[in-house]
Amino acid sequence: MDTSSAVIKNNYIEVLYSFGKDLQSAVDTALQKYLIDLITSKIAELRKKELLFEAKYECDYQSFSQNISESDEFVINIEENVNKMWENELAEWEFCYKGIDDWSKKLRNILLMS
Amino acid sequence: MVEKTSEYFANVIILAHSTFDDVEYTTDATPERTILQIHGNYGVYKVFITELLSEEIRKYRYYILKKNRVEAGFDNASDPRAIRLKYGKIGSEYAGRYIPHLHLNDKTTIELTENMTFFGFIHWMKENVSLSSNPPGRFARPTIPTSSLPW
Repeated sequence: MDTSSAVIKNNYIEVLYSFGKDLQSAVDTALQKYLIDLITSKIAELRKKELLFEAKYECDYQSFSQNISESDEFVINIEENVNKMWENELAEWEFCYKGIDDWSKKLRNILLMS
Repeated sequence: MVEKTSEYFANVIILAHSTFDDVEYTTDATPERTILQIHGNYGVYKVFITELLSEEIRKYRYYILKKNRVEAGFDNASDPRAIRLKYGKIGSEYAGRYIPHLHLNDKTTIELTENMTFFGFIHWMKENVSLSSNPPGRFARPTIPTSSLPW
């Protein structure tokens, strides 16, 4: 496993030792909690964007991406009534939809490390 | 891959800043994919750029608008019109295939193209799009300069 080093302020170390805590395990625990927080915030952010796209296009990502590539009528309807530049939004929507999965897998990995 | 992506995006952003006015951009990344979105002005035109690197595929969108009219739009989305041009028909067997193509005339016409790069798009735009409000005339068939890309 690759490792890195960091500088910890003495103030923190002194307080930590007064609780009888080990520095390495304290850092690992703190980082894990911090990363869980970051990842869950990111998932929430992506999900919020995904919901906006679902509302705008009135379907989920999988249905949209299937219909848009199989139906002329669907494309024409989208371009005339929703967004002429759906291709740009579809790319962002894909990023959000698949990104939620990416981060969820990473979250599971981090949780399994405890 | 991460380093190559960062370098590629950095080069795209630099070129966008040197070509367009009022450039704004956002990037985001997950462990598996990255996205870059840029918009700016080119004379009387608005330009919208998206680069999504996902599953080892580069999905791009390079659009030039004059007010709400799509003057030109290069992308490789799974568009049924492009699929039909390439394969002669559409259907589930072709769904999800990425087909490089060019939209013109407010997306009323479509042409198949080679895979476009941002650098190729800038080259094409400078050759075909006048900064002034004069009608651009018929756009030439795009010729994409070769460039080394990680994809």
